[in-house]
Amino acid sequence: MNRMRFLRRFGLALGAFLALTAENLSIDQDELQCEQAVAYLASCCPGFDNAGINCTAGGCVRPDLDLPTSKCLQSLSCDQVVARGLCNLGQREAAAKQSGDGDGDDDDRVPDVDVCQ
Amino acid sequence: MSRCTILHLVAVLSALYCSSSSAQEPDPEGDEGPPTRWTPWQPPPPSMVQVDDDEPAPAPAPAPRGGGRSVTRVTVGGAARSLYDVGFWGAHLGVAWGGEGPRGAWYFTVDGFGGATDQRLATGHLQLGFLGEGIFGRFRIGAGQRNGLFMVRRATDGSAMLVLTFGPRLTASYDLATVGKTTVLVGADAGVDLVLVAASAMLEGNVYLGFRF
Repeated sequence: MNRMRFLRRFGLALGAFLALTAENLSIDQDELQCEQAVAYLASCCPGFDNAGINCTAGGCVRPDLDLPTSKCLQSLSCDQVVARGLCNLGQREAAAKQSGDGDGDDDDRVPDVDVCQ
Repeated sequence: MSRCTILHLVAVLSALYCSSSSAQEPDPEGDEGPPTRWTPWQPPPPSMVQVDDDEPAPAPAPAPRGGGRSVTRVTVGGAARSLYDVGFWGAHLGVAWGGEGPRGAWYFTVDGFGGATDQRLATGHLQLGFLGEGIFGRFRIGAGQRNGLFMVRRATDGSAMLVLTFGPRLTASYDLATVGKTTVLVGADAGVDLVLVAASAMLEGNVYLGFRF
């Protein structure tokens, strides 16, 4: 009896959780690699400020770091990241958003040329 | 009737009344005491119960079918996942409840995974499912299905990316030793998960050391 009650409550809790989070139940490849790139930058740059970088994907919004950029960033050594001035990528991204329309589409993205060329 | 005769009759009646009362009261000391004229009814001893030959004897309790028994299995080990060419490495903890017979076993399973990506994004995977196993001496080969919730913590804001996973699994294990009712085992399992919503399947594998009791 107690077990059935527990299973019923567990099922209701799981259902409620999934219903509340269903909108976010997805992982996009760009999204995941963007988060990976930000984590890598944070590991290379002490005090890295990621506040200006958005990695969320959904609808028309794409991550600020697209897939090639994210992969390229992770292929660099930490010395290269520092030498190329990528430790302030967050601030640069925030500035780009202020100068752009800030809607998260392509004109707000970090240009590839800044990172890997 | 003279006064002396009346006194004598009262004395005789008193003596008779006293002896009758002492025979009806239970003796708290358990002593049998002197035999009395009246004893309460007691059932006859079992050896004297009359047996009805027409009544069949009660059937013995049925033996467990196929010698089955309930089993709990706990496993701990290393685990890996792969999604979009991103590797997730960590630890696996599995608990399974079920039953087993001489040739097979089945379980309801709960599996947990905790780990991180190569860039240290924390990752978790909770899975519920079932598993059937065939027993071949010390080897066990199994197949089943798992439904899970996979979580990756974002580096940007610390929130979680969540997906649902559904997929088959294959398992193999080997019983190292049995002490009493507890068996020590090593094993591995592998699976391919359909991920909702992601444009890729997720590969997963676990190797573990476990106990079954």
